[in-house]
Amino acid sequence: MTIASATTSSDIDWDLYVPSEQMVELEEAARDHFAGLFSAADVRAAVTGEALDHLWPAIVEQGYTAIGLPAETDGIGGLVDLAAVLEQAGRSLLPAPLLATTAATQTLLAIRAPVEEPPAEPSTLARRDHGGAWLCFDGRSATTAVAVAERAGGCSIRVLSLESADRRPLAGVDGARADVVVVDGDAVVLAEHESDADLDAVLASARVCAAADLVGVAAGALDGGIRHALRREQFGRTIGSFQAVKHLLADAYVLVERARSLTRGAAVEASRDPLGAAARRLAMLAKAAAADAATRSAELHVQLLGAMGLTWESDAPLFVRRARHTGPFLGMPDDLYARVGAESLTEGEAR
Amino acid sequence: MTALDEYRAFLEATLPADYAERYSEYREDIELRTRFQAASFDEGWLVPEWPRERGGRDLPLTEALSVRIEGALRRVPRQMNIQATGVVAPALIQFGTPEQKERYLRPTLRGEAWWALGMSEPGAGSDLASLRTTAVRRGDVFVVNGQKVWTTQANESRWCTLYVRTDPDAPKHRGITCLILDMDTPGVTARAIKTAGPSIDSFCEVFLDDVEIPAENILGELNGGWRVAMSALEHERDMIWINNWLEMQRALDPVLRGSDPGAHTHVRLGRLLADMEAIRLTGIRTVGARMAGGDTPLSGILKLFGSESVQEAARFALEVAGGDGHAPLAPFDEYLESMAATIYGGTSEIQRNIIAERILGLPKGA
Repeated sequence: MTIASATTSSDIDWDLYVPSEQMVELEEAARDHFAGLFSAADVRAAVTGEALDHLWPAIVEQGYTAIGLPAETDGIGGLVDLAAVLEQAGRSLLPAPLLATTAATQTLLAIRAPVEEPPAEPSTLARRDHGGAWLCFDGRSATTAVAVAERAGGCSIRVLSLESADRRPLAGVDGARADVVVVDGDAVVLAEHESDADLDAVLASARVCAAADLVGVAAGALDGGIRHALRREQFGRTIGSFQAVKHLLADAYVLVERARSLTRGAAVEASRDPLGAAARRLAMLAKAAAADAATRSAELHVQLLGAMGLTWESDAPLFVRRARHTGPFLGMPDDLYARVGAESLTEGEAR
Repeated sequence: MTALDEYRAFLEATLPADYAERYSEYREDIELRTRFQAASFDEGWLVPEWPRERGGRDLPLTEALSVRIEGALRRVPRQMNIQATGVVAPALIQFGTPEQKERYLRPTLRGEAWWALGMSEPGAGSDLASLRTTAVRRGDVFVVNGQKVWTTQANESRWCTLYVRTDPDAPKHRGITCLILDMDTPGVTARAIKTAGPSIDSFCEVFLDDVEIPAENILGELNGGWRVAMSALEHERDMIWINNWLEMQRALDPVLRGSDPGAHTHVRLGRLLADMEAIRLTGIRTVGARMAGGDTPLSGILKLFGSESVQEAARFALEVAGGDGHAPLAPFDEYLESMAATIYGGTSEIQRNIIAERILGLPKGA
């Protein structure tokens, strides 16, 4: 007699919803580490295209690329822990390809492709662009790409070597995450895997990674907006005491927590069953919600700063650039919402 | 057998066999709703995390949450007088004397005696602390004079938690007391106000003329009423979202079961499904944070987020139903009802102030 949606259950995996000590430790360590590793000025330089390749060894050394890998491959923690760390990376606007690398690795893990050890070199997740070439997210320094393409009845997933490939840079809004394009003939195929799962199922874990990063971007921008509202005075009061400002910030906060909750739920489901229906659906919604939250919070940050928010010295536009660059990665919000909406209608007819 | 299995067996045994198919019709079945609440209490499923003698099963919060989610997934019948279980009973448990608990809790939780919340007045809505109904101590009684308004189901209620001013000289938050009023007391007149539609629970004006209330009917402390009011409204905040979640599912069921209303609706439907999942997951995160022993600001967003989302779901369902050019009545009634959600229990505007001030740390306004 259950009317329930196929992807919602009353059985809850509490171990993954109660914040573990390990998760809190990883999260705090990452936040402190990123704060000391680079400055806002570094991010600003990276946005204009300056390569900060010296950051990558520090990322690997600190063990971030091992988070979310199985213990037998020298990994630590699960996808939920990785999401917590990626949120800190997003919040700090980390100008190193950690999201791209983890999205690629998590995609391989999701389809049970062999991953021998934590990646030591940057990697990227590639999708076909309109011209049939591989669009490599934040792939400027990637040595490999996990290239996912849909085929009849599933997906083919290729691991490409980009070492000798011609990486055509795209003019993008955030040079700290420069996308590149690679054509098939240029890349050496290192491995080829097949999956019966559809594209959205295969991408679920990667979408969790992207969503976590964007939740961090959103939270960072919101924090900036709040800090300014507490400091800036007009009409003899801090502007944060005006209801008009309070309500904007309260609504943005709700959007951030909405996205954070969906991201956590998607991470939990993908940890249990990476290609399952619940992970697939929640990851689409999480990615959409996180992009919404990031763009909204970043725009609000600018609005609250006023003209200052549109200067080169301000951090606010850095959040706007990051949100607008990473927001479209693995699907624009409206496209993801529309597909989940359409699918739920089809499921309803089947009931 | 886990608690969840036992609860499923209870539902199978208690609800009619065709409930899943016809639950929206059963929505109007007052007898079923009344019987279901009493049975839930008797079997300990009403508030499963509470002790057995209070209609619970002593379940840990986590299992209690699973039980409630299961109930929502199965669209269990709504309580007739929701504030009795959601607001009054927790206040009785927290602030009541042993005698008050003994007398009121059981009939309240079984749904035998309904409660009104005597809070709003003509001059005190969102600004509750400015209420002016007075209570003057005379011997063993308080003599109460004044007026309450928008008092939900007051004309059908047995009792009322009545907020009155007992110290006119104290700062406005510190001179308020909560009294338990028997609605049959002489001098009490409850008059139903005709609502904008039949789906909206009846609300009333309540006139209080020299009403005598025994002094032992103080709930909490003399002049401690503000604390009772605030914790009463905050009680169950960790769980109340389940009602919003259930209402959203109810609103969207006809859309999901009907034919595809067209591509132009898909984005909005997807957003609503995201809202619905996010409400559930935020509720789970809230309980998760409590399990880890921490306080969490998360429950503070659930009223705003939940009520706004319910309203959007009802709005969407009405607009989809009107797709062929005629606005049908049933979804309109639900839509009208949903407009109350962002008003009662603290308006959305007040909720945004609370979030900004208590969670985000912004200063109080002028």
